[in-house]
Amino acid sequence: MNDLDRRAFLKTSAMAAAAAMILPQLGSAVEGDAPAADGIRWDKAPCRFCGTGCGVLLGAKDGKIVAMQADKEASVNKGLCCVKGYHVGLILYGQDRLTVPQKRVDGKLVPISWEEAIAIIRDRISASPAKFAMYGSGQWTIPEGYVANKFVKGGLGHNHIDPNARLCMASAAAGFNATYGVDEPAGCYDDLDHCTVLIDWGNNPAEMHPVLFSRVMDRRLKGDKVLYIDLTTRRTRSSEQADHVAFFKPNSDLAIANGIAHLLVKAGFLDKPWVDKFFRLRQRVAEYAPDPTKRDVYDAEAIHPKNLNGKDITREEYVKNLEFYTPEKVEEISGVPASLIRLMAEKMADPNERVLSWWCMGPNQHTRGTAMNSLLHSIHHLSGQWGKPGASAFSLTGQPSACGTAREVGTFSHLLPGHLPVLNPHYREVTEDLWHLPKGRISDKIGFHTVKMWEEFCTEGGAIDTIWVQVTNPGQTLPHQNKLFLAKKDRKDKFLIVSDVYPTATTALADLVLPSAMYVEKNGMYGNAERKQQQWFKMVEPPGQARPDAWQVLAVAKAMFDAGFPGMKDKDGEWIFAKTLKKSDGSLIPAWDFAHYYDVNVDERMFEEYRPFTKIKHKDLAPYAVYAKAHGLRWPVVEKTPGNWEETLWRFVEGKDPYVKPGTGLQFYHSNTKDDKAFIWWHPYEAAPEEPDAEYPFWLCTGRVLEHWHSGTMTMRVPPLQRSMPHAYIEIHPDDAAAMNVRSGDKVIVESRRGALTLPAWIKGRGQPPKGSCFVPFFDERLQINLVTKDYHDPFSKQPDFKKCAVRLRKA
Amino acid sequence: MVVPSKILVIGALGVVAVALVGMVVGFGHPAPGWQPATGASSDRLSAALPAVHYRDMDGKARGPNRAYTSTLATLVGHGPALMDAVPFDPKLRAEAVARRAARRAYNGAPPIIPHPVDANDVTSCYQCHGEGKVIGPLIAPKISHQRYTNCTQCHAPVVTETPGGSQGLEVKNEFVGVVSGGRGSRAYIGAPPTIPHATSMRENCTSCHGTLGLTGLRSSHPWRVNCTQCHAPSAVLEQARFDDPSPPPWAGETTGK
Amino acid sequence: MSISSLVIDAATDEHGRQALASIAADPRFTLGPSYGNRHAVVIDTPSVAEDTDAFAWLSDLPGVRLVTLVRAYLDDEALPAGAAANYL
Repeated sequence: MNDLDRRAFLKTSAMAAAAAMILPQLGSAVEGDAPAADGIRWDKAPCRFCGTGCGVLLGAKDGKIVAMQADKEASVNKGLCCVKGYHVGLILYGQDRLTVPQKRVDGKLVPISWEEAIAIIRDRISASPAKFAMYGSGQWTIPEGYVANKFVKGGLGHNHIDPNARLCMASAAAGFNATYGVDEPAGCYDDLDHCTVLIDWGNNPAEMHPVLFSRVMDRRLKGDKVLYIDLTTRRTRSSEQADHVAFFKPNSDLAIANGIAHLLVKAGFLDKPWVDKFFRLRQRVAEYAPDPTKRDVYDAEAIHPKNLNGKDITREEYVKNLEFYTPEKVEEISGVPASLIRLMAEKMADPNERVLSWWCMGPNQHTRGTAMNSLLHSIHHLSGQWGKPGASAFSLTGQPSACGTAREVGTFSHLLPGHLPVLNPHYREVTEDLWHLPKGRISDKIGFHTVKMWEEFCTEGGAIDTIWVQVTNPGQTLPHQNKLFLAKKDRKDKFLIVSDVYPTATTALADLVLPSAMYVEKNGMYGNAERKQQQWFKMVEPPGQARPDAWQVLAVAKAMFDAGFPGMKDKDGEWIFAKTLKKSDGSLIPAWDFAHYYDVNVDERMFEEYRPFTKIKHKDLAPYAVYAKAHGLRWPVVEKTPGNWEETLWRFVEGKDPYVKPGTGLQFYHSNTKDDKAFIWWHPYEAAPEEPDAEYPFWLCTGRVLEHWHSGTMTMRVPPLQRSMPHAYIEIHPDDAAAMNVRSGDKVIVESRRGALTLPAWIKGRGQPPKGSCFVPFFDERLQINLVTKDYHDPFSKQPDFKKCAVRLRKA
Repeated sequence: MVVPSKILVIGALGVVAVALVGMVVGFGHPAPGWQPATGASSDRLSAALPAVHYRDMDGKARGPNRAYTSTLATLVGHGPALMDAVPFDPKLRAEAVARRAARRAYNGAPPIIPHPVDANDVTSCYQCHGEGKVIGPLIAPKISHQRYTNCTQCHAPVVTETPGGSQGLEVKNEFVGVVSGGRGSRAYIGAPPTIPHATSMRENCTSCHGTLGLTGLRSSHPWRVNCTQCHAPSAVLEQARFDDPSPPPWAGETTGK
Repeated sequence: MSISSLVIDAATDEHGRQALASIAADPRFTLGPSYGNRHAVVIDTPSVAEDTDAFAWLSDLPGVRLVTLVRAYLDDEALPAGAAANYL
């Protein structure tokens, strides 16, 4: 090669090198593009994503979020986040943010003004208020959920409001209520720092709750001994770190819990002093599904909400029922080795161990979810692995305010604020008093739960004709999409209103789309899985005309009041939110006018109005100003000395819970039987209503992945997350794949009795299902597995079972 | 091609940069510089397989790729020695900052993993990143923070593991993050600069500033181990205090005043 | 002979356009592809000293906000000890 050639060659390769560097990159490649690091205003917020509730610090400069840090002062995560949390600020900046209200005209969305949008909603609701329903979210902030709840239950006089938390942790709530008479965990994340044995029940915390997972796993690096047992339906990243991994057959978790109870009873644990003193043995009132061939057809009386707390069972009967669940029998039912059942029972029986059970969607998305949650509490009660730091049964949640907004604010169709049941006349009266409403305004009928609400909406002439969706994406997350969502397409009498931040599968069918402010574009407050409330202030302005969800509801409520809608008046004839929004001189702050929305802190006003509700069930919250300073507080938060608000780490435990009487040891002061006792439940193992058969021979399980959060609306717009996990897939066992001649990357059709979907196969991938089963994540809006899932649900919680149905597979 | 021995390529780092950018954008093939350890001759005679004594059959590499090596032990190289002179040039620093930026959404974000990973085997990360290694033309930086058990909790591989399918939603993100902490401030000329970034998750300064760090960011005195003796961290960045602790104007009646 | 690969970050205003025009007109530089406001540039000069001068000229050019060196091929000067050893 001569010198000239060499020179040309060098120049070409030099240009290639330079060209390679100008490609779009993750960050701004050069400093000159980016904001400088000085002058950033840092403020705290909880992470926007899951129910863990990590503290993050967001840095804003020139009206934009430019950096993030994990909050070292946050007790949840202590300065560590997960990959989603570290990129949480990016969710504001997807290029297709919704910025103007839009109305569907001739099949197309066209921009309209906010005034017109509010007027459309006002007229639509006023025309048939009883046929209007609100579908909200465990991502509503506490004040947003409160405003919506009061708007529907106090203003429209019915209870057709339900959050997507129905799909997420309704069974956990029902399990707590059935067992303790009051919702939410007694323990907290500090149990993770003390446990010596950790049992996963159908849970993959390494991906879904990574910060909590490493909080306990990192203890092993410091020399702590933690025996980790992973009971799962497929091998996951969590399994990699487990000492024992056992695959159980779907639905057989009930049998496993009974197997442990069986051994504990054999070991004489019914005679332990705590059993008689603190607990009652309990069973269901009647069979839920009298016809064994139709296990999702329930007996109305057996599943009436009043029967959630069951009836007593004698000791003899309890022992007799458990007799069947020998370790060998349980192995036969579940596939979990008898030796592991024995090991778990031994560990639970050992007073020197601290056994922690944790679970999330496995036992919740379950047609016996309430029963399974109750059994988990029960084996901890029976064994005495309860009420000591590290010895607990802990229910994890998936959404940042599933506890704070869905459960505590009571945005469920059967609840009032403070988790007060609608069916209780006393609580209805209390609510009417606190809201200054005329007597009888609050309906005594439970509203439609999520599945029922969408079924009515998608049915010609059904009881619901308008749904307003906020902060959630039912077009992707409801089960059995063809029945519960897509059927809306052909219903001309139906009207769908969607408040969201990005176009979604739900806005695709919406008749009216409202652009919402998200996360730190507004003030907010979330309540996480360990009863912790965390507050944040608005840090940046929302784009375009995007506005907070709470404002949207207030504006509609005011427009209805102005139009003379009677429900929007309190007993003095004032607007139902007037007393909340008055200045000290008695004049009303016009917060419904967006120009004046921030004249006052609407969040603080709503929160202070909400606080008295929280005291009724001893879920006391501190004043708003205390949360503004704190990095989160776990309720009950009580004022020990003036100005000194203290949180509670362990409920019902003397010395830890301020409401437990001295000398009692444990006191379950909301006991269903009014005797300060919690329950030890008996529930049988029952097969799932739909199991694989000759026609549909595979189990299908659905779930999440580390990089994406739920329907992916936010995380699919964050480049580092989206690139790492760009699309959904189907995990299949290598033998099943070989039988179909399918290799990784080949397209597979997964088909159930309800719908079909084509996905690339991933064999020996991140998760490895056992033979005869497959797994598909639900984050990908273009590959919606909920076309395939089934809408059957738990008799009490009404939570659908996304974790199991029967499918067949074939190569595409 | 005759390459004068004098020719030196500062831009070897450029080659590496290109290689890594290649990986970043998802090229799967090996980086330039990965070659058989001894080139097989094109001479037909010597290309013929030499006879192997049956005694050596078991241990002897045979076949056309016998000279190829990919074992870690033979690929591991050495970085500069502690006392080697460290070049410093604003150009090198700018290049280093750009390379860092290509791996993270903003300064302080956990860097993405620029190579494919076996998703389920977390401990293997420490094989290279535990102490930091030079591997062929690449550098595996030493982890900058204490050891954790779940690396992929924070670090996402940029080369997706999922097979088949399309490349996901094509939605651009307009986030513009801080690219670097800038330079530390000096009280006077010659004074040690302050640390311009948070030290949280970057407790181990040698990860970036030690001998295996990017040229341009490397310390001129990597043998000194007690960095904060002379270089002061910032109270704001360490979350010891907020710069502006006052609540915003919309904080409300009880919190705003 | 020295050949350097650069990425320049040009302003999006009139200054930036003028800068790109004068770079294009200068025989020392070859303009390559661009993405947004980032442009690939190669410097080709007979010696290292001239390369450094060209780099400095580029850095000072109004409308050029930042110059990033991607790679340099220098023919007549020894590399400082240790500079690139860690990449080889």
